[in-house]
Amino acid sequence: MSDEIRRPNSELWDEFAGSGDAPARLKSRVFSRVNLEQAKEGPLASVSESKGAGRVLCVFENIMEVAPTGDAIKRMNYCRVSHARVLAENMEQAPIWWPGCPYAQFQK
Amino acid sequence: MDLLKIGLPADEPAGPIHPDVALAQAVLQRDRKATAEWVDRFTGPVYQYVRHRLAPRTDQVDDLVQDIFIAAWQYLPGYRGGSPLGAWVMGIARHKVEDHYRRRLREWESWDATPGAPEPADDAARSVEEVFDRERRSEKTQRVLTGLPEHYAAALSWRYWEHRSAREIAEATGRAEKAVERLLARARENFKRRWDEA
Repeated sequence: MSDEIRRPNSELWDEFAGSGDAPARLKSRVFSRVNLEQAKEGPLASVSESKGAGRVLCVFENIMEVAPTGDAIKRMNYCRVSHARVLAENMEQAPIWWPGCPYAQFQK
Repeated sequence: MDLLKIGLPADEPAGPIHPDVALAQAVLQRDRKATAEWVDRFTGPVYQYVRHRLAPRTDQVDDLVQDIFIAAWQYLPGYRGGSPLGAWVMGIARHKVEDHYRRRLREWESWDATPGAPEPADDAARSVEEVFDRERRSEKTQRVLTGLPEHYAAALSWRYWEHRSAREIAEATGRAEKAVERLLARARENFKRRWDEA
């Protein structure tokens, strides 16, 4: 047991929530790593499921969503093979502007 | 595990799901878009917290932030919506930062080399504690900490920002409480001298 009262996590969160963002490069790396961990545990949600949940797909995912392919193809980790990932993980202010691209979202 | 039941105990009627719980569910369903939103919303404050706590070792911040999110992903099935998701992630970040302090102090090889170090003077201890509390976000505090030997900075941050007692630090590092008190005394002396000079 602590001899002192520790600050609640929510208080700590409030303190740091307004103190600035993280570098876009770091967000990109975190996202890519979590994606890899998710893929290790099972198939990712399909692009159709994401779209059905109201999420915005990127141009490439939109094509795959309507393409006459099997479910397994629609669950692939497209971000892994996207040049946007490579740029975003290595550059701050990477030149990515695609709507619906997570790596572009991190640049804002 | 039934992912749809997260945040909804079986004996409670289903109602509107809190947005944080809905986001956690979507991440657990391995939705990449939801995962991107999760990372986008929560990385900033976690990064700022870790950067603040790891001074002077800011070179390790990125790796630790990544570890925090991997751990958060692994523990996410346990999130029940009892607290905001941001506070929940921050709890994991605190554990990881304390792991970092523990490693830093365990790696320090001079624990037994300074048995005759002076006991902490009460006024020095109080003034350093006040500085840590009052000036915790100031640039001067960060600058002084950055100039300290790494194990001093870790010990002071652990003691004053994470509010762990010397006994708790001793238990976590496998050292005697007296040895931790000596380390803290030296760290405080060093900090105070640099603070006064700065």
